[in-house]
Amino acid sequence: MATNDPCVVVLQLTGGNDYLNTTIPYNNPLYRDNRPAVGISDNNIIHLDKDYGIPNYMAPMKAFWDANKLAVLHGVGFKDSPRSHFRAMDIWHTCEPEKVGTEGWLGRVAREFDPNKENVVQIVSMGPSLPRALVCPGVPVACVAGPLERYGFLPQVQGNERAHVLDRFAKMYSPAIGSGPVMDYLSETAIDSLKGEDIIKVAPQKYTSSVQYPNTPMARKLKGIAQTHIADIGTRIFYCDHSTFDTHAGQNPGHGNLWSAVSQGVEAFMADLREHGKADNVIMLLFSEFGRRVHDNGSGTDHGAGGGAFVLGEKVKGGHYGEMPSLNAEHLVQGDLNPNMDFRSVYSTILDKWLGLNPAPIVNGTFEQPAFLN
Amino acid sequence: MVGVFRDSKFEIKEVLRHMFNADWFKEARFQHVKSPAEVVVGTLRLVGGHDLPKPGYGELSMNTAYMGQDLLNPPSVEGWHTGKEWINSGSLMARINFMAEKIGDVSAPGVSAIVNRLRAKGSLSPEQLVDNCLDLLGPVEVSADTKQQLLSQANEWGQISWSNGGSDAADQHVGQMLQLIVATREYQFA
Repeated sequence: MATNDPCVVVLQLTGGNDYLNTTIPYNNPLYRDNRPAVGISDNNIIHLDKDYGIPNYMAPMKAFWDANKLAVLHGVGFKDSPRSHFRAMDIWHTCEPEKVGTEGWLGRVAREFDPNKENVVQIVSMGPSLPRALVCPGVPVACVAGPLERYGFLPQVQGNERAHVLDRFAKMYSPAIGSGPVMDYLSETAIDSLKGEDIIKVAPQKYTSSVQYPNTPMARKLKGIAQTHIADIGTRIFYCDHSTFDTHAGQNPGHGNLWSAVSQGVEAFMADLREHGKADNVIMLLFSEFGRRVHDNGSGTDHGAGGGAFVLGEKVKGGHYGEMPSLNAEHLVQGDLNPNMDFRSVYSTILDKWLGLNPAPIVNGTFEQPAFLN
Repeated sequence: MVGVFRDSKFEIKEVLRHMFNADWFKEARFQHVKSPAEVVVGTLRLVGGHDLPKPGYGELSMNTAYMGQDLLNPPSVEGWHTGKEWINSGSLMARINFMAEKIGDVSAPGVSAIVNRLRAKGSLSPEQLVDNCLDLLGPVEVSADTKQQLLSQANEWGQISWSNGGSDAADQHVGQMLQLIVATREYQFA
């Protein structure tokens, strides 16, 4: 691949981020009416413009907004929110609101780019879980559960013996006819991982930076992504998450701690890419499976429907896209914001305008594309 | 089971008797992918030495998180995706590396006990080494292909003997064979 091919970094805000306390309609009296317990006070709001603000714990995001590199997407979601984390996340991941899907939208992207599976590190996910967004038959995903340096099987075996043991290991995991789909999956995962470990391990060895990342799990994941991207090993899709935004109770200060980690991590990450001249071909998508209920519960907020998303990067056209759904009681759906931007619209813009792919077969339909990319 | 429960006038003992004798119950062995908690707790129980509190448990407990199950901190109130979804490149590495590291320590009480049982046999042919290790680790049932690979490794070592100064090498080879077994596909199931 050319080293300037466009890449996507997805940061999943797992648990259902509270949209109303993330993009605050601070002039709307209904915001105060509905948030007696967890509302952000006026002196803790950083104004983006005359209508919206962000909480002060998201301060690093303001710099992206001022530089016109932050797109704020309003009212994102889908009809008939199930208010279930698993189901809602599955819908976001598979673009299948009506049935249970098995292929992830980013897995499909990887298949489009590399149908012959020539690059086993085209998708790198920082974390011990495999998000369903990345799942697609025949598409390898390198999930990095810890530091990049430790990515690999049986690190305790070193020296001349290592190649021999790994060869034995590979033979034990060779595909066997009739062993069943789970055994086949184990085989494929192990063999792809073996191929990828030598490639990925190189990344931290080639990396130096003056950027100081915060000492948080979020920042460590983003640093790993930066190291991998800077190493030019052909990764086009990066994935990471932060959790849990499931703030039923103790939303203050819980939500602040979560967003401080995300905002500071993203700030360091983008600074790192800029220092290495590797920021121009990267955009970040930040999303959550749903927003939270409009009215708080006295300590936190419960599962809702419509939410918000962010896209940021050097090539992003900053600003507001869409409108925040009405907070008027008569416009709410069972007490929740009524989404007015299908989440697949956001994907469609990224696929069409950034990755150069036809979005329809990937997101299962044609959707309006908010113009947040130049 | 509902029928047995009713017919026995709601005796749990009869329900359990029915279940434990049922073919479907016996056939369910080794059919589900172990959760990270099962991997970590099962391994620690096997290697022994973790009966009482002592330093280091904090880091040990983090291993389930490295495998995708951060105990007491699920990704949402609904818990975790389970089964096959425990497995991906990173979690598979974490599982195998953890188990291999622990089981390869022949000084650990549980591993030492396995070694001692094998040592009592005096010496072992490659086939005996593989069969005995599979038996003492479970028993673990492996495919013919997997067994062939284990046997190929054992054949490289030849006859294992604890006599004539071969004790250390024999211990080491048992440890390595146990490591290979916990790294197999089959060992990921319970």
